Amino acid sequence: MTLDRSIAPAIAALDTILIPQIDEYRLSNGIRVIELNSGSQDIVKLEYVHAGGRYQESQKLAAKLYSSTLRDGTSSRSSAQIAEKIDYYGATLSSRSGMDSCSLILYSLHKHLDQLLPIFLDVCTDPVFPEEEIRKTCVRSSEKLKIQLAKNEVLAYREITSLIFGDDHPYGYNTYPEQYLKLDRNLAQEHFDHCIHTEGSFIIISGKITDAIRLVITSRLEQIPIKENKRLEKVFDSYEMQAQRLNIEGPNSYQKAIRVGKKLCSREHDDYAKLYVTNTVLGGYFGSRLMSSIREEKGYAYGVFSMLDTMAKEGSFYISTEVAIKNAEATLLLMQKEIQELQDKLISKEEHRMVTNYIMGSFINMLDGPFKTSELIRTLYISGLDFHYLDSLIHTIRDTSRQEIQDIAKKYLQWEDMSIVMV
Amino acid sequence: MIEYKEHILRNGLKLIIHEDHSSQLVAVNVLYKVGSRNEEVHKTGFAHLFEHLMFGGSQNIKDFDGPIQLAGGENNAFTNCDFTNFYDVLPAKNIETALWLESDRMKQLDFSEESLEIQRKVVVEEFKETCLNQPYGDAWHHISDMMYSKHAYRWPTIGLDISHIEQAQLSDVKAFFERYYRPNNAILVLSGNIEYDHGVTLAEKWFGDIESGSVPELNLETEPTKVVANKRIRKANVPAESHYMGFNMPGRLERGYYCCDLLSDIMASGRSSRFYSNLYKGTSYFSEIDAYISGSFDPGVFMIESRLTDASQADKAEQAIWKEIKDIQQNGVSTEELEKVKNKVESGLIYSEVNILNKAISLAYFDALGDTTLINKQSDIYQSITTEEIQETAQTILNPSIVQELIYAPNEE
Repeated sequence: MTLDRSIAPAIAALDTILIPQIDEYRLSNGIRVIELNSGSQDIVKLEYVHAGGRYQESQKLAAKLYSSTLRDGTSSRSSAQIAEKIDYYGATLSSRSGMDSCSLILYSLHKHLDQLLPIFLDVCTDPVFPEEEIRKTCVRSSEKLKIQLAKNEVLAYREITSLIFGDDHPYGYNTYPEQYLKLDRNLAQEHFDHCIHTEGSFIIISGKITDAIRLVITSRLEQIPIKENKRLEKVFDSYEMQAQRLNIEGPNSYQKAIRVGKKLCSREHDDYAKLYVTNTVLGGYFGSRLMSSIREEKGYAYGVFSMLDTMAKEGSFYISTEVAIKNAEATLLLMQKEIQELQDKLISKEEHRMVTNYIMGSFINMLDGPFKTSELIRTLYISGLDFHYLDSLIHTIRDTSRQEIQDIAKKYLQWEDMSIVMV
Repeated sequence: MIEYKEHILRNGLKLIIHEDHSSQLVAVNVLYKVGSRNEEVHKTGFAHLFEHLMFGGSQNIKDFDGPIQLAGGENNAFTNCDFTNFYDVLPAKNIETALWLESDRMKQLDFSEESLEIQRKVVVEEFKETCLNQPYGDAWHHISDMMYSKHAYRWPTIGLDISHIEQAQLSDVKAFFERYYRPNNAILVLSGNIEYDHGVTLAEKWFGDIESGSVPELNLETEPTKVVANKRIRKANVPAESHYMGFNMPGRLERGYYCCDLLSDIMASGRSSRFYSNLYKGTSYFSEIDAYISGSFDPGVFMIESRLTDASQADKAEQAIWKEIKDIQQNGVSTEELEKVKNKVESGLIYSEVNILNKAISLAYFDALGDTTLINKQSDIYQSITTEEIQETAQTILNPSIVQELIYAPNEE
């Protein structure tokens, strides 16, 4: 029997997604632990998360300065000694800060965890932020920023986010090379004193977790003294973006970077799941409307995407692409046309099924393996949500109707409300 | 340790299956043994352009991406100088969708002027976005040109010149497909939630009837050993002065490759590396400094790349780098230091075994290199390298009398 290639294999529906089991408990010092035990390699990832991102900082750049200098030395270990041990045991110790949180992350093989935990603990409880190291870090950060500022797409991103959130808002402010040169260690220290090891801090342990591994980790982390959260939650003025258009002369002249966007909502909002689906249809995956029209039909761009950039308190929507200068205006018209189309016409059943399945598949992918899943856990928990939220998000996405997609496009994606940046 | 089983179809297609039932997904990876090194000098960028065309539809499937997304999967591809690799990751129960798609485009790609026209434009925009519109974006155009005079690595995968892509003809495209995109020039890997027997049955079902072809033998010129150093200064619109120091190094199958890899780690991998502590932190000359190897099949490039904070200190910066190199050449490295980078390599290998797609790509990669069993020998080979070998590698490879240097100097305002 010959194979009939014109008939596509049947596609199994993806209406149920196995969400991995997590365990939640508190240590004797009150720290909340979220444990995700899976995986077959003898590796464990430890992420210690604090409410200490841009949103919580006392001054601009405090969170970034804190996280980039946290590993620069403790009372008993120099920066070089810390790095030497971490590297020697083939581990990675990274420190990062974002809009709503900062964290210290350790990846370790089981067999070296005993040697590494004392260092992890030392770095997170007793950093000294040495003046000399901080000064050098600031000079280098300033130089790196200069290099970033020579890219059209970076300039475009900076402008659109500051238009959306306001230039004084933690989600919207931009930094400049000279600012770094004025920072000093007290800013990092102050951030440590107020935002780190507070009641809002939590730990995510993921990977293969045996009883012995759990005991080693928890007995160490239980020694961390937890402070009361003294910082009052800042309330930022609700900033209303005025839709506007900015044309900026960029440093590079082969292409224009285009960003089109507006403010949206956080994950807690009732319409978030439906927005997630609507954005995916428009520009959230390879087969999206924007990609088909601007890349596949016209060949104007290598890539074009729209995304929901969602933080704990608020979120934004933006479209981004880089195109030849002569096609820039035509590209904008195509973006407008694709949004209009979503508002005017119901999407076909076929496209609806494709988008829904694509999103379901992408959730299976995000939940594949302990370390990817731990990223998702962090995102949810710093937004004040928990793992159950995922269940309801997935269900709402699955059940979002074609009519709802059209309604959402009308309600949130009016072209007149969008700001446009071209660099 | 990655366990796998192999099977060869009658048409020569190599099948490798790795079972990992902890995942709900399966990765389908198809590697074609053709990269930019197979191109002709006046038609460069072709392998990569072809990668794009593979998404333009095949005989029975107009649109490649639609069905894979409908099946809840994602797909992508990449091209380098040695091979072109396509992959799909999707829920295991929909594996046949990926096999249907991959086999149909291997059996008969649908060529059209329209598809070629669109992808030519897309690739031209990609060329602009990654090479022309970025500071230092054309660095590898210069480096490839300086490092190689005979070997086909002398142009980068994206292509030597944008005009080669603009002038690509449909007839060239067809000939390329018939020459290289044949089952006997490909490796199919299934990794994830799939049983071996079932995988073989499905592969036979979808790929079994594809005709094999005669794949031209790879005739590469050997790159002559360099005898003189060379320096190229490029004035460009860049934010900071940048230095690239390139040295020729052994190919992927030689022991010297592993020595170079460990040597570059000792120099620049991690915050305790020599460059990080002595140069990046220890001096104020550098905003970035790195040492890495290109990792190509044939003899590759050992690169030291730095970005300066102050162009007027360029001489001192360069001396500082050479001082570090000479220290290794004269005094070698300690057993502890070597052990450290070996430990890092060991954990790196274990971390890479977490992800089913990584495993699929690695299996295909080692098979293309000529020996699949190497995938589980990497750790042992790295462990066997001695401190003497590292010192000797530093002496022979990092030779100042044949260094190829590229400098980007910012335009005067």
